[in-house]
Amino acid sequence: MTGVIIILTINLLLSFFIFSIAFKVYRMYRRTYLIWFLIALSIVPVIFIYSFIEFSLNLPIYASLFYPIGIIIIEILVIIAQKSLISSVRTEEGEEYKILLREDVALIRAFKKLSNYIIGKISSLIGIENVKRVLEGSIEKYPIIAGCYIGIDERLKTKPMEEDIDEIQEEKLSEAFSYFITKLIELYATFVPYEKIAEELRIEIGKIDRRIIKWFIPFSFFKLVMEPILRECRTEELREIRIVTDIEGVSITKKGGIEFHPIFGYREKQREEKFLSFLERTRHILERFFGESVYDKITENFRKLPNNVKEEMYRYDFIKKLPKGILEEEKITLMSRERLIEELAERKKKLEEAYRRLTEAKFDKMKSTFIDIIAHELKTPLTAIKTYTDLLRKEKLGKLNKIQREKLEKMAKNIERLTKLIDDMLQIPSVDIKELELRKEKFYVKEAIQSIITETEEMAREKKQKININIEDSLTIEGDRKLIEKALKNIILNAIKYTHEKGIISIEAKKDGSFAHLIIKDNGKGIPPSELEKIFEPFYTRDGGGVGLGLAIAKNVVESHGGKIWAESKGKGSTFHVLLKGGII
Amino acid sequence: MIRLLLIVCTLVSLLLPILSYRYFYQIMKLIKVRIGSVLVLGALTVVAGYIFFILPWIFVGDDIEEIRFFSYSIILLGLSILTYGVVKIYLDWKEVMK
Repeated sequence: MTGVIIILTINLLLSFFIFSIAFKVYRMYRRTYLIWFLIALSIVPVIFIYSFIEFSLNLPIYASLFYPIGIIIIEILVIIAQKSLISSVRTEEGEEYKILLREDVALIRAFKKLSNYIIGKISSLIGIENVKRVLEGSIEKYPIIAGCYIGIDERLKTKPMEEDIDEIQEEKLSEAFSYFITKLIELYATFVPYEKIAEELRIEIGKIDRRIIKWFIPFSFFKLVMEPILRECRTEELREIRIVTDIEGVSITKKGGIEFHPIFGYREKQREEKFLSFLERTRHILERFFGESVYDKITENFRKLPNNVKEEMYRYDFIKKLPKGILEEEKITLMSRERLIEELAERKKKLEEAYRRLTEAKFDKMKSTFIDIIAHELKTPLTAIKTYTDLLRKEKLGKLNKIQREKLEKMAKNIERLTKLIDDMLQIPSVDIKELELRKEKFYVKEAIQSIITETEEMAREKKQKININIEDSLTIEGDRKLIEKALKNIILNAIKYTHEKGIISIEAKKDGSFAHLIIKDNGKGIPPSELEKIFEPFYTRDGGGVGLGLAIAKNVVESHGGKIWAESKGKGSTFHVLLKGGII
Repeated sequence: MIRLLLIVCTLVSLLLPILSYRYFYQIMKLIKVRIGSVLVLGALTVVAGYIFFILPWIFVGDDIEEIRFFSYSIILLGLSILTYGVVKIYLDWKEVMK
């Protein structure tokens, strides 16, 4: 029972979901057939709800009649929807085509429209029988268009063709219809000047949907760009052109008409090449007949092409391949557009980089502020603790026994450690540049280093390490001596710490332009390459020992003095470089 | 009498999909709904589930819970296929309508 209820509930929810999606489709694209589908789908949840009731109340057999009746209603509604859909696809051609119509069917309809336009024009001039004969001839040559016929209303019909062929090959269809339309145009041109025909064809081609326009590109190039010029040529000139332009798939009639339909037997790229080759061969000879003005004529014909064709033409960079003198302005525009795109891409990259840096800088600033606040907040209560501990140790608040004194000593030591740590933390973020300017002084590097060595030699001695100093006596640094000494001391302490017993640490300093270059070198265990950058980050420690602030402070101090600090390590030993403004006195 | 009515109605409900398929075939000749076969499969599965559901009513004259559960399971499968189809159509059309 529970199983049935659960699965019924899932079915009900699913049917609601399907209905809601179908409703969304309807809202997006309102059509009558979708309403029928929607009504059909709305009955499904009703059946499931009824099923709940019938199953729970255990109704008698007549209640089960509801199910087949419900199903029959749904099926009838679906059939009505399908019929409505069929008539919609058959009659409507605008939006319906974009959403539903197969591209091959749409192509047949586009060719049919174009053919009907010309048939409408010529049937009154030559009679429909002659047009029918052209169609029969075309069917004989291209059986693919066998489904076409001229109806009693003297128009080309293609419906049987649309519905009889399972999958239509666009290439074959284009070839067949191009042949048929070319023949119709040839007839039309007997009565009407070709320039006028071209004008009319441009308008008709302009109505073709962009999705299938690529199949009309050869037609546009040959019939609308080149043919108007060839039609202006004399018979003997045309004969010469025919000899010169010997291109497979393209031929010129005695009157200057171009037959190009066999080129649909080639691939799209080859079709384009064939046109370019045709243009290349004819332009020289046309130049002889018309002079330089032929380039203007070709350019003008290209410019007069409908927008849908031009868009397609631009998309495939076809313009760039045109010979010199044709569509020159468009070529420049196209190139500048490409350059603009490149520049935009470049700028986008730069902006992204800047944004990334800004985010990092913001994060660093936040981190510094956070450390600053925490350190200050810790320091205030710590001062009070320290004061009271001192009072207790000095027995100002009463006598202490031995254990209490021991514990207090431990407390005092830890307070001392904590105070030092907080003092260090305070130095990471807040080297005030303005204050620093006031405290700046020139001092000898050697003096500063020796003072540091005096403080640290005890530690080095314990590890039996040797410290070598090689610093020019007159080399000076300009800055806050106290801060710089602290920074250098941290580096030296770091070297002592990570150098094994009896190791050697050398400290060198020399003039490097307007800087003093200090090199602190050890032969300790070295730093892995992946960690060379990280060691200057606050709280970063290599082996978990220490707090990890020493080098961060050193970096902060050096950089706030306009200097630079970096580390190098090649397997064994490490070298720290510090550049600080200075010179020789 | 009721059982006879049930048989007639069920037969009608089984004949109608054949007619519907004829129209569907015509539609597929013209339009480019690529998941047409998915919709047919979904609908057929739902119909199969419905047949299983109605059989006990016709032959036994009552409901059999196990068969009801089984038929609901098949219908669930059919609805799931239909859901895929409908969602796919929605996404495809949404793209085209842009």
